[in-house]
Amino acid sequence: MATLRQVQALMHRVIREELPVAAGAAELGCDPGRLDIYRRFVAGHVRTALDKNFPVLMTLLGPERWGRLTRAFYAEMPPSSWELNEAARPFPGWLSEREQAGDEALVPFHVALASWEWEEFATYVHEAEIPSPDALAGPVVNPTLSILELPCPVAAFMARWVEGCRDLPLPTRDQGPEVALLWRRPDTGRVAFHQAIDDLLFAVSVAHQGLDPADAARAHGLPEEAAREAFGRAARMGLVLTPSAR
Amino acid sequence: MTARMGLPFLGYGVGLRRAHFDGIFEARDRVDFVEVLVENVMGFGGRPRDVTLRAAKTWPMVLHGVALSIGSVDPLDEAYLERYASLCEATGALWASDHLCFSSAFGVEYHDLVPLPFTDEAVAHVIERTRTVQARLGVPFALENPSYYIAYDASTMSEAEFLREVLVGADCGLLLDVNNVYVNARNHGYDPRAFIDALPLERVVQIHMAGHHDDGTVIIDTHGDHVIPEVLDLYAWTLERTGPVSTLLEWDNDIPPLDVLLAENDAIRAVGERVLGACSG
Repeated sequence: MATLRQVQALMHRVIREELPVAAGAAELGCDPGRLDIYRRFVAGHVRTALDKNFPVLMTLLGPERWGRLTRAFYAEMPPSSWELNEAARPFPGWLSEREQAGDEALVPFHVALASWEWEEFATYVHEAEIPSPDALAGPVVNPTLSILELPCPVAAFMARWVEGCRDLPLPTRDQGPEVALLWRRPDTGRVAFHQAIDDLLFAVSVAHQGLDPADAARAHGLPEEAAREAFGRAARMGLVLTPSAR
Repeated sequence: MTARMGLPFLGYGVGLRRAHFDGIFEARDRVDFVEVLVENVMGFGGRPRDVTLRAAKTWPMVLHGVALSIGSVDPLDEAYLERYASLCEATGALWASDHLCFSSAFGVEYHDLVPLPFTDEAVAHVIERTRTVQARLGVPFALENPSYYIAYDASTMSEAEFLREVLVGADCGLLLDVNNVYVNARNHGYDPRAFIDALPLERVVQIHMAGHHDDGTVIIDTHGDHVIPEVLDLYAWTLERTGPVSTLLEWDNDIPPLDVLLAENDAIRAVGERVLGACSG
C-alpha cells in the first residue's frame, strides 16, 4: 500500500507534468481522465493569475504568444506562495531574461509593461495604511508610493490605454528611460500614476523632508508661487497627504 | 439561540467577494453573516483589508481558507498561520475553516484542493496538524469535506469513515459542503443521503452551498452557477437531521451581480425556514 508521501509524490509529478498522466493514473489506481483534471486546473490557476495581473500585456501579445509564454513560465517557475497572485511576481524578471536571451516575441517595452502592471497590483494591495488628514501633524508622502524605473516610457502609453485608445505605437528604448510614480489614492483606494516630472518629485521631496513649500522653494531657488502650486497639485492627486485644515 | 459545538446559528450568509465591495453594505438586511476567504485578505492592505474590516463590524464574520494544506507532507507554513491568527483577531471571526485535503507539497503550491488517500496514516497525520492549527488560530476550527474527482487504490476506508475519524480524533467541527456531497456522490457513484447519515452530524458547525458544472461525464465543483434543486433538496434533508446550521452561499467564478447573489441567498433561506420554521434562530 502506498504511503501518504508516495501518493503525494505521484500526484506532484503528474501535476508538475514530470510524469505522464496515464503513468500516474496506473500507479495511483485512478482514472486518467479524472486525474488530468488536477493537472489542468493547477496550471490553469497560474495562467489565470497571469491573465489577471498583466491584462494589457496579454492583449498586446495576443493569444498565441501569451499562451506560449505563460506555459513556459509555469513549467520553469513553480508557485511557492499560498497567495496566488504571488505566482505572478517573478514574471517580469523572467520575461526580461527571455527578452535579453533573444525571444523574438518580446521587445523591451513588453518587459517594462510587465513591471508596471505588477507594480499596479502591488500598490493596490500595499499593506501600508494611508493616514487620515485628522491624524497628520504635517505633510507626508503617501506611504503606498512606488517609484518605478523603466527602460522605456510606459506612463503616457498607459494613460492613453486607460482612456480606451488601442493600436498605439509601442514605445521603444530609443525614447529613453522613464521614472514613474504609482500610488493608491486615499479617496478611492484605486491606483493612480504619473510620470515622475520635476514638480511632483519636488512635492514628494518637500513632504518627505517635512519642509514648508515656501522654504523649500527658496532653498531650490524656485518662485514661491510655483512651489506652492506644485505642492498643491500633488496633494490633490493624493501623492502627498496634508493635515486637515484646523 | 441554537449552538453547535458551542458555536451559534448565524443564519444565511454569503462569501464576501471583491466584485461586490461597492454594493454589499447596502444589502446588510439580506445577509445574516459573511465569510471571508483568508487568502484574499492576508498580506493585503488597501480596499480588500478596509472592506473586510468594515464587514466585520457590520456582520458576524467567519473565515475560510483554501491554502492551509492540512494533509500535506510538508511542514505547516508558520508564516501563513501567523497571518491567519492575526486576521482572526483583527476581524473577531467566530470560527475558521479549511479543507480536508492537501494543496501544496514538496515546496510547490497548487492552489487547488487535491484529495488525500483515506488511510489510517493520513488520519493520524491530519489529526496532529489540526490540533496544532486549532491552538494557533485561537478560534474554533472546522474542516470541510472537499469535492474530489479521483479515488486512490491506496485508500483503505470510505470517505465518510475518513471524515469521522479525523473530526473525532482532532475534536474539530465539520463544515459540511452539501454541494460537494452531491458532486462527489454523482462522480463516485454513492448515495448522498447515506453518506450524510454516516457523518458525525453533531459536529456540523456550518454548511456551504454552491453551484457546479455538469459536463455529462463528470461534475466539476465550479462555484460558478446557481444551486441546483437537487442540492437544495439535499440541504433540506440535511437540516431535518441537524437542525439549524449557519449556511453560506459560495459563488467564486462567473460572479453574478449582487442582486442575483442575494436572490440565491433568499432561495436558500426559504428552504431553511421551510424546514426549520421561520424563527429557527
